Amino acid sequence: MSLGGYMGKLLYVDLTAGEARTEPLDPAMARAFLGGFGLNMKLAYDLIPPGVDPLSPQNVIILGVGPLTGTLAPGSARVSVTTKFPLSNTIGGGNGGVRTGAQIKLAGYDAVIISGKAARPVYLRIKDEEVALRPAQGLWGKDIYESTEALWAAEGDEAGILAIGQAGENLGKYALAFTDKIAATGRGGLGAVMGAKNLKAIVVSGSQDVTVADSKRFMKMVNRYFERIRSYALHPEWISLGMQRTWADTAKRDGSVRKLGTAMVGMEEADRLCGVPAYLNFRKANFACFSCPMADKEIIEIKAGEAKGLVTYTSSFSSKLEPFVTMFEIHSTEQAIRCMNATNRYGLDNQDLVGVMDQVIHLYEQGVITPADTGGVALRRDFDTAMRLIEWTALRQGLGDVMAEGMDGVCRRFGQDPQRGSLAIKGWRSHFDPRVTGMGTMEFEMVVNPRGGHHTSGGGPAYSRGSATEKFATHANRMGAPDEAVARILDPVVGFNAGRFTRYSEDWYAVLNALGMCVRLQINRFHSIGALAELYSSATGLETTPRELAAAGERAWNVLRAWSAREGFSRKDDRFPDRWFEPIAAPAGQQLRLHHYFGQPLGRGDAEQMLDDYYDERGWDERSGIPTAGKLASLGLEGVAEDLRRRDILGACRRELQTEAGPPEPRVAASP
Amino acid sequence: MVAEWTKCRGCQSCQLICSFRRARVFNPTKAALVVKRLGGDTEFGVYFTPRCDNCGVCVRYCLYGALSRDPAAAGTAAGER
Repeated sequence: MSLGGYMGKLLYVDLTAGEARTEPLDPAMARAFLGGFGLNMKLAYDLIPPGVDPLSPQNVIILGVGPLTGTLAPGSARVSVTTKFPLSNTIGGGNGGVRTGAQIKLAGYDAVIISGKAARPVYLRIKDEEVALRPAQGLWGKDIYESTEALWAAEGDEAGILAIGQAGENLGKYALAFTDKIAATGRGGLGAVMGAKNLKAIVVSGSQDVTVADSKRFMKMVNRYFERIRSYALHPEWISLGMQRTWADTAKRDGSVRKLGTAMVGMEEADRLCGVPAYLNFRKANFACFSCPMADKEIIEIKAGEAKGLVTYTSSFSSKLEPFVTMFEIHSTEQAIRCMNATNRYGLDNQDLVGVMDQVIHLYEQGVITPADTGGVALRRDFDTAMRLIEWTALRQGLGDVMAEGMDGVCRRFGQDPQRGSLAIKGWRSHFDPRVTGMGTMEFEMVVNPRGGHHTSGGGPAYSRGSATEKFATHANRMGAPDEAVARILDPVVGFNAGRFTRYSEDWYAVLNALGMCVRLQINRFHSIGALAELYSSATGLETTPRELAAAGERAWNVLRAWSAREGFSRKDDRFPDRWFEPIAAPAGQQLRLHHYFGQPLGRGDAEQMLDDYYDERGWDERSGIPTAGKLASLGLEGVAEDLRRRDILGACRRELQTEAGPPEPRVAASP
Repeated sequence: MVAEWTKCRGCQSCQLICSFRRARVFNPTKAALVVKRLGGDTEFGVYFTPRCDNCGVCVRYCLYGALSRDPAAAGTAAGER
């Protein structure tokens, strides 16, 4: 069966055998999971064996593109990358943009599934039907920028490239891959998984046609998007400033201080170093992902001084520099850029790296880590120490060998309780501190995300403090939450229930990433579940209602959660870090405490209630935080329910299998 | 057609609409213009091929204002500026 939007083929590559084969895309699976993130979850459930070592050949890397990827639908550039991540032993959907997703599609594939381990360093070259493993010994040891440039020179600069740096080669547990030199992809250790497979890079290009089923109807929707974007008053400002445009909102949200890890700086100083004038001073140019109307990828250049001529890349200038400014007291934008550049080139995740760096300096200050552990080097909060720690970590030199294991690894090595000793959730550093930002949707998402303490699937208007309550209702409706759920979200007691809202935010994220669409707020704002259903139906020819589309997102998220449950994760792992319940001192003598988005103080009981509300809204078992058999069956996931039941994971939920299974639609082939 | 390279952000929407108009498919290799990385880096040059018939549809889908029709070259192939 030939569907519009889809290429109809999955490419399987076995690195051990050096073989590739294709399989047709099952249309029922496409309909149930859409593609991209959704299809990745289903494939991961079936292909990644429970308990597998993430760095073993048995782990699988799945690159999934959506039915809208490669079309003119604005912002449809995305590729979802799923593997079992070594930092947390979880899975999820890493995500990259620029050109790689579109090129996978143009090469003729809906997903590329990589297993095994090459005998020596290789890169995977996909050019339409030609699939080859090429020697990468000459690239091994090179950083991501050098490797990507060398591969563009060798393979043509139209290619999409996903490459790792030295951190991935050295199996650093929070090593990333970068898409097309700029888009950080696969937080949690995709870089290490590639390194363990001796896979330096994936290089892909193609010349196949991407077709849509009903081109007139599809273009009518596309044209509506273009008209709305063109008439959006803030469009020129977004193009001019990219994500830096949110700096003022962030300042409004955080008040007078910026806080990260154990350090804070006044907002005035943070603004001087990371604000809009600094951004404009160092920005060389900005550019767009494939089909993106917002062009928020940035080329940053140091124009004078010791590092004159340094060019680096980011898609979020201030958020990448800020940790270096706040935690390492680097009072120079130029030096902070140099830290970011080193992090990118080695292929380390900025968020986890700065958490670990802050942690080891904190332990050094307390005398837990001593000069004997550092080769006699004093660890200070300054530029030289920051650069040294980045290099040690990427190359696993000295203390860096422990640092490359992540925050929990550092705790284990130095006898610290991970729950007390770090702000990590499931081993991932939590990006926001809700004592400063308030407990909004992104903060709560870090607690419940099965992948780890990650926030992107929790996006919502709560990100900007001061948003009116009506905005939550509008946003929830846009995401496809039913009216009765919106009434529950607008909790009459606290005004807004982040726990209940987060369920819809996650499903929305799943839908967008399954279709191949960008989730960033400046483009996300143009979408609604109805518009996406119309785009999907007209592109694929599979007539799909908004409700069915939202259910596909929910289905994907439930498979993700079921996969995690199979690995032993449950409510016990959705844990608020203990330190969030302790006050924290701000520079002006204030004591900041955990508080609700609307300002009310929050204690442990409130936190547990938020979890209860979230599981209830999800239809999951509140005690375990695991999907019930009834919920799985209602999503057509009887095979998953049966698998969990057989492993005795459903526990208390087992009885529901007989009593609550409603009419599933659409049904999915039983798995595994 | 005229392209102002300094305004191009490399999104390739012009190539997508061009291939769609010509062949009802999305495929940059079938477009009558090429968006090319310059010097292996992430800045762009826009080149029109002899197949370009100056129809101007790409102008409507460039949200960065990098493309315009060249009235003097209507109906003919045109180069970049």
